[in-house]
Amino acid sequence: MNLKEEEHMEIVEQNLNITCVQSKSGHLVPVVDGVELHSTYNPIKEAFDQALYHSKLFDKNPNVLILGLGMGYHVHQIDFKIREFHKKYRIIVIEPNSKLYQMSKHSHILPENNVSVLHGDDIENYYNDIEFVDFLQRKPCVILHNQSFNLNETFFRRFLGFQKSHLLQNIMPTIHDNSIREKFGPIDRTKTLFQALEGIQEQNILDETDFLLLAYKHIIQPTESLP
Amino acid sequence: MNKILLISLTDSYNFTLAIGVAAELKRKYPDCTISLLTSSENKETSATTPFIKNFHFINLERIKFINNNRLYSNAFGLNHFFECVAEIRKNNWDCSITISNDEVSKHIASSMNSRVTWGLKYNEDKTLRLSGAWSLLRTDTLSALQKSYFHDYDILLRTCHLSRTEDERLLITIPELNKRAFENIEKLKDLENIKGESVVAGIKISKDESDGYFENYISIIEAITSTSNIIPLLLITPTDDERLMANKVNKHFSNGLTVAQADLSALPSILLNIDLLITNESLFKRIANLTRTPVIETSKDIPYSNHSTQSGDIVIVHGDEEISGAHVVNCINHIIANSEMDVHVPHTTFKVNTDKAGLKLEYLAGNLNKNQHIQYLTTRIFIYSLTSKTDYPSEFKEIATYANSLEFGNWIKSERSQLLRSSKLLLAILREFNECRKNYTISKNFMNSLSQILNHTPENYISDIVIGIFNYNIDKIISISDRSMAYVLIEKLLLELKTNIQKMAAFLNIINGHSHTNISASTISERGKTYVEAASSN
Repeated sequence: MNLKEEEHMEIVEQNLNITCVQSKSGHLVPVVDGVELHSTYNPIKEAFDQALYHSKLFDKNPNVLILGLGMGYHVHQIDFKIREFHKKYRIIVIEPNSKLYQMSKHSHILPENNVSVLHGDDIENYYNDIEFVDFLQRKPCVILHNQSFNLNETFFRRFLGFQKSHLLQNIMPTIHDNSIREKFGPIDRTKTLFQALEGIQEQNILDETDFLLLAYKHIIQPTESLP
Repeated sequence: MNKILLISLTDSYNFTLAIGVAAELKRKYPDCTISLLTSSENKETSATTPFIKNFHFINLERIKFINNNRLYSNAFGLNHFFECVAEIRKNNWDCSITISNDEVSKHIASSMNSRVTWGLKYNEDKTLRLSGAWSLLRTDTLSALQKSYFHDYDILLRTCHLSRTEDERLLITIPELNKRAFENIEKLKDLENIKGESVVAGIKISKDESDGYFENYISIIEAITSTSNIIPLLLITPTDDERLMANKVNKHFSNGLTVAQADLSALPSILLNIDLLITNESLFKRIANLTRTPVIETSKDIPYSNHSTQSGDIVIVHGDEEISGAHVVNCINHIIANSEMDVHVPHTTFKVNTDKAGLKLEYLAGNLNKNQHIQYLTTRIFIYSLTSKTDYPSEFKEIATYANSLEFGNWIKSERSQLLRSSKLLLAILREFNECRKNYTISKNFMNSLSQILNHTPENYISDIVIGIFNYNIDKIISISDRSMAYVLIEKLLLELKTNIQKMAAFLNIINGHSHTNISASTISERGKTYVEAASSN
């Protein structure tokens, strides 16, 4: 899984006031714009109760998607609880605030195995990771970290409602092959991939890359042959 | 011929044809290295093919899934596809061969750096490039006919200038699995406690519940279990649907039947240890062909172009009727003990044989649609003569048996009548063409007369073939801007059409030469030789 090391902050995030307070139990609790992301009494107990509450979701499903990281206490507890049900499992956490991820990482709360955190506010980037999308196809149970969710509701709603773009401008950054990138380079980026392929089909002379692209076209839409 | 690439991207049946082609290539070019680009669904079977050194798999279903899924970026499918072909793109191939006739394979073949391509591919100007007369038969030319009279495998081998051999098994098996299959089948034989020689008949159970398959299985198994020496063995692949069907069948026999479950890598081991296979599935009969296991093939329609490829196999055509189990048992005895076949049986039955034209369905028993069969026998010989140009199959024996029949007479009449129509069309075109040539134009009259042939709808006459060949080729020439070149090419095609029509006429005359007297096989053979000389001198 691609863990983003670089911080990617949008303007809203840069304006966020992120501090840390200590709970009564002695644990660090991030406070974002005045909102405490965990219990200021005992965040561990709170996380334990959350994991217990959500266990009915993951007792039969070894794949878990957690929306919101906070400091990671709930992630730690869910990771602990899920082992009662599954030997092999996978937990992915989505956190739009990369600074929070850094804080959590440095606090060494997050488990290392079976848990990945994807952070950043560019939703398209998440879905440009094929392994992540493969994970979503396994229909993980979705657990909201309420405080994080409420703080970033717009982001998470857009995240959950994502639909891919067919436009070249969105597809080009994730195309690996240089010959395709060169081929599509001059094409209007507001065209869809399929329109670009149809344009190739209309050319009078085709080269090696053109034929392969048309082969691909016939895989995804096996209708007509060359006239 | 060192590095050869085979491209087979459609179903598993075509994959098994690729195995056969690879074997024949290795026989002809022992030092060559063969690579195969195929669908990832063939991974299991790939473990059993010794002739192919390198496999490259494309997960076509995943690409389609990615493309249709609202979450996956379209780039993923594109990346996967290009990664799959990356390795083969790097190579300079001595030869690439398109096994399956689909657009994906043709386009990939067109992109490859290959000295020679056998089969179909596109030129850079998008015109279809044929690699000889046999590859023409793989285009729409013949598939537009209601029945294709040449076996797919023969067309494929001839496209690659290969001949068919039948002496070896073409699949390797895993020794451990062989041992297990052998032991299990010996146990089965012991359990049945048969005195004397026993015969284990594998019955491939399909998942298809429609159209009476279940009743057919029951009928066949009931007949088999009433014999004293034939043991039924149900064969399934490890899928829920086939397990369910096998359970349903077995329940009918109080769960007294043995079921063998094997994936495609283990199936050859089972086939090696049974005496024959009964199936209606193309893939399994083809795998049995590769392990040289005799096959009784059941089919609703006559499988002219894709029947079993092994001499001696039997094809039972049952239409919509329930298969007669008793007849299947007769066929088993015919294969195993060479016992006589009663011709008065409920289903049209053929035996697979070969002649110089290739694989052939020889009538064995049951009702026969003589019109259709005469059409089949004569058309495939005619096609062979058109495309081979050198030799001519002398296997007229079977045609001779129909020569005095009413159906034969009617067939000759209708073919001649159609040929006459084609000749008249040709004369009209030639007349107009001569006018065009004088004026160096392509006139409206010429196009009108040409359109009558171009719009010709195939109706299963032999002349449909020659017109189909003409239509295919003329289409590419009409739009050439270089007029003088266009005239030369059109004239060449018209002459070729004329020659082919003449050949057809000669062919019909030879076949019909002595319809008022008894035609013997030797007479027709003699005439056939004369025809060769006449045709060759054309």
